[in-house]
Amino acid sequence: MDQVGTTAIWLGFAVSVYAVLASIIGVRTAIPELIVSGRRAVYMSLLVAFVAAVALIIAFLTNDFSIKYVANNSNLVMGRGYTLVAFYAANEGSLLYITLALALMSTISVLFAPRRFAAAMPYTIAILSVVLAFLFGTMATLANPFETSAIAPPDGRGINPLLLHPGMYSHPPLIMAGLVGITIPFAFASGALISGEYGDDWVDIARVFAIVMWGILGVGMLLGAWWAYTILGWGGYWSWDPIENVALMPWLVLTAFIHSIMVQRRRGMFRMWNIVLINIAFVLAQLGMSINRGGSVVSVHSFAESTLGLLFLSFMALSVIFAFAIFIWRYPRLRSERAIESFMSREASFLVNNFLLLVVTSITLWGVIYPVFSNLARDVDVSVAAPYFNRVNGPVLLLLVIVMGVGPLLPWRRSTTRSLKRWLVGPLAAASGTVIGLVAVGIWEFWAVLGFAAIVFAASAVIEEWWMGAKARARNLGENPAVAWWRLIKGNRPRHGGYIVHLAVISVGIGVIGTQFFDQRYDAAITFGESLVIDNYRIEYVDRRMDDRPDRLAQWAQIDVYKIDPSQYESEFGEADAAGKSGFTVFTNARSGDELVGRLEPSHEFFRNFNQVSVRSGIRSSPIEDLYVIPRDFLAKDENEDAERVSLAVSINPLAMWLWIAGPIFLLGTAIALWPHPTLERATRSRLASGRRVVKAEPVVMDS
Amino acid sequence: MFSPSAYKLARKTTKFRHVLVVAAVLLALMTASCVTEDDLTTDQRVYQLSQQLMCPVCDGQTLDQSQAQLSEDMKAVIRTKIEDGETNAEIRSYFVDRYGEIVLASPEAGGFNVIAWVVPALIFFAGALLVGNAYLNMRRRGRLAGATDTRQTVEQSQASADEPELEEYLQRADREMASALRTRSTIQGADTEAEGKG
Repeated sequence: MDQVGTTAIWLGFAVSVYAVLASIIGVRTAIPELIVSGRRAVYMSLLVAFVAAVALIIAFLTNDFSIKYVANNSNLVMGRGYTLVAFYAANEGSLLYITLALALMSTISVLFAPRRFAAAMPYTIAILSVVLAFLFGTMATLANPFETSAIAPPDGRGINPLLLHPGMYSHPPLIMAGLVGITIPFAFASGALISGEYGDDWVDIARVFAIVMWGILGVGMLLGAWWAYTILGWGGYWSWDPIENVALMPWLVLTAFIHSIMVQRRRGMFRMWNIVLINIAFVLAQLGMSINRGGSVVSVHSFAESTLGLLFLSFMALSVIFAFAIFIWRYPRLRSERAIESFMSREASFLVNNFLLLVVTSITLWGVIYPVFSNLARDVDVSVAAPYFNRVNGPVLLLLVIVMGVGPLLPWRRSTTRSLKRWLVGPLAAASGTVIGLVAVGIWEFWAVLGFAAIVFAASAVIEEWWMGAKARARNLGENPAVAWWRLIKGNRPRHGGYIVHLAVISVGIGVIGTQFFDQRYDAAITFGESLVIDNYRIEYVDRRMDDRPDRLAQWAQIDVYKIDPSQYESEFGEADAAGKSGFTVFTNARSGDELVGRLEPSHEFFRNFNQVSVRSGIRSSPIEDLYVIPRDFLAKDENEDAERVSLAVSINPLAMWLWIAGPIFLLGTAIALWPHPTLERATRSRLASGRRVVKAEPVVMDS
Repeated sequence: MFSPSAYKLARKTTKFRHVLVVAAVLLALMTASCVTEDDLTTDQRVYQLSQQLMCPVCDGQTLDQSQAQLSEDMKAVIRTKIEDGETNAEIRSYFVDRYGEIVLASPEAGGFNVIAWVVPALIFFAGALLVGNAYLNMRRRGRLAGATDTRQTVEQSQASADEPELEEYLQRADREMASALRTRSTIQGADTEAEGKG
């Protein structure tokens, strides 16, 4: 198998290099056969990447420990179900995975590229193939997943236990595919630039792939957050860790891109800017892949460390030079046809949206590199973690939410103050109502109140749009309101899909504010029959279950959760407060107000080979709040057998569920935005038949 | 003659006064909602500090997230120190003395680390300047183009003067499109009307 794999990888390298040469020579010397052959070489690269992947999977399935990668990432006891996880658990395999993903997406994009883009296609293929050649070449020379050792060990080392979870099937592959996939829109933009097809032809296909990658990255990040929160017992869902940040940054830039590209499609503006955005997204994706390969920064995700990071960083530097060199070369031709007419227009709101998104991106990038900077500048190591990012990015994100509310209310081109005021009344009233309501119930935290107000504002803007639109349809066409609403959405899928995504963002916002500002926490150790009381919960440690295996010691704490009547525990709460405690331990049995609401079984596993602990939290979730229990440790396994104590970290995370509710909404919105519009497609096609540069030819309507 | 501008000025000052009032209310709310260390229980402060300090032996995890024994020990130290009446700042500097600055989850705003905090603000304001400038440029170009429509055509032909065939093609396309648009304008007019702000 190792020979098949290695051969396939070298073949992939050769084929990709050939694709680059054939495409460029073909287009320069106008030999159509070469161009076609260059395109077929892309399909070929998918085939060989696929062969290599199959070879690696077979090697895992047959326990071929003579291959180092297999020996390092699997063992005889590993469930076969995790073969695919082991496939991309470390550097070499994940390289093969991203190569396969890029080859697949390149093939799809080349197959489905619109015919009118043909002139630029060879350049696009060349750019895609350069990246593929780089990946194949890196594997062939420096990180071959099929490298063999002279003597095959009898058993493998096994996979890092933290990775042994179904979550591994979704979060890492999605993030990796999303990052590498940004190459596609970048290649179409740059291909168009080089060829001189600097019109708007690249925009449609780049938009589709940008939204796909953006959706993949978004879902990947949400799943990662969910995984960290529910399974890994990290307590949080997002820690602004470098690896998280390098996935977030390209996502933010893609968010800016898919907004501002609407302006190009619609109004022929922001042409240069869109190219700059996709270039930045591509470069940041490269940075992400480089940091994923390990080396330069410290991260909780340091599962795959190596010196490959530096190689990827160099490739990134080359990409920067390449991307911006062709941009500067073609800059004089990238003029907008129209100008912004008013600050109160959709275009201008997209400008502000882009500005804020790029500010968050830049600040995040600064936070990621500051430790490196500090080390180089004065040889002092510093950490930059969540408290920093929350403080510097928080206010900008708040502004973004507000702009998210204003933007949809503004029409294209310009708006009158009067109509804007009319549209703003509803959302502003809702936001003010929220502030008053929150203050009235005693919630005073400034940023939290402001955040909730911004969220309500943005949400009611979307609802107002739908309400007015559906009402107008219902009145004019006599439709039932629900049908009217559905047809409204169907009528302009990109726009209303976008609004649905806005609602997903709002849902995330609710969760973030709830958990960041109102969480409570109490740590204590208790033994059987004892309870912890926090807020209006009593948590009783009932029993412990154990599973002692050769590779691990797994323990489950069986915990009964009671909703309590706080008045029953008034004196204890008073004592705890006087002692500076947010919760307390009780030894007595249930009181009259206690109502059993469920049982949690959080677990704690110790992996002997890896000297690593893996914790699974117990969560009782509701839209209002999560009760979240992590068993930190099972204490006193020594001579005193009666003292079976467990050390628990109990927290209450208000509104946490809204973070996960956002996921399906996000997917739905993205799918609706992407869904092709049959009549619109037909219209485009017929318009194209009448002349390629339709947009260019539209008369410029300017009012003096 | 002066009355419109005087009126504008008056309106601007009232607007400005509105802004001031809103700012004052926000500021008042902000100070009223400010939580000091004294308002928190010991547990809450331990939690707060455990989010502000990194576990020295784990990669990129705060004390709060980490499962390491050292983190538990450090939290115990924090608790003792709070009970001894030390402030959060004192406790943080105690750990900095022992483990170095890397133990802080976010660089303390002082000395060299001022840079860490100033740069984000610089990014924001520099970005705002750039975008504002770009916006004004676009508007100016828009006004010029609007004032003399002929000028734009001149500019266009200059821009593509190096490609005569393309220019010819473009002009033909322009003509064709103009006639096509005229016939289609009635349909499209209705269309945009219906779509409204889409």
